[in-house]
Amino acid sequence: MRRIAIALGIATLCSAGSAWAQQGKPPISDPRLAFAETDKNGDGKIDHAEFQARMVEVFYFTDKDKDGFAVRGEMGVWDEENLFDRADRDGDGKISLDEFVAARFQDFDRADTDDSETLTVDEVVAEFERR
Amino acid sequence: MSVATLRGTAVLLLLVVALGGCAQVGQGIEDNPKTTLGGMLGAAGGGLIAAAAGGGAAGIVGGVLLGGLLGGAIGNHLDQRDKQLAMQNAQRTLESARTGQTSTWHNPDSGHSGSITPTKTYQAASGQYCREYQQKVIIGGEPHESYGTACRQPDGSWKIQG
Repeated sequence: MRRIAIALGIATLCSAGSAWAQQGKPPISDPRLAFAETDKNGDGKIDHAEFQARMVEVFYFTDKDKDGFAVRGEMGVWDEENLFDRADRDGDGKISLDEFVAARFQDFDRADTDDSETLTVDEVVAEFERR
Repeated sequence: MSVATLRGTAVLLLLVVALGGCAQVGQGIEDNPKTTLGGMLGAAGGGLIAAAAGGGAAGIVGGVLLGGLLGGAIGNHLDQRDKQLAMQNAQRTLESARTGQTSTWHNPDSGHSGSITPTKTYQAASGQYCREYQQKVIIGGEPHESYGTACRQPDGSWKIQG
């Protein structure tokens, strides 16, 4: 389960965009391209700020009706796992942006195998390839 | 809409734009206050035009977006079709384009063109989604760049913020 969660977290990193929003599931993407898109300052690492910015964008496109929350019908593949329940900390049946980002940072921490508080392209690719 | 209501709307729009600062075109406030002032008036004027035309709330919001995006000296060089194309492109892009994705418009009749690129997405304390953007308008082959922030309104339109 942990591996699935991490893989989906990395998939999330790779999935910002209208394609996911339209299809309701993360497409198979190039993790190196996703890394480059997320690494805004081009220093070869994804730091917390860059990761958060990416996750906000992912959440924006996940929230199809733009009401500020993601619900099961909007979550695509997430509906098929218990990831929704894991993120829905207050159990209100919907995920706020804060809940979403918090859940994704759990995945960030797990993927950050050297505890550097940044993700390297190797860490991202490694997790992606473990899917 | 009554004259008093229109006047109130104008004051409110001027206040909002003045406090927030309109999208700057090419230069900063300290460099060219006249241009920035023109941007403010462009934003408010756009809203008033929409209101006067009976566009309702959505029309006013669209007008504010139009004025904010294309105010100042640059707006004076664009015709109505240019502004319509730019506004439609901005609304569509802010709604559905990912950060970093540039969308362009082109008016073959005037020869003018432009683009807009969302540069950051965030959620305001109110829960509104907001996006920072970079805009470029090309007039006579010369590019003019501006930057700003727009927030999504409940009706799905996007309104320029400070």
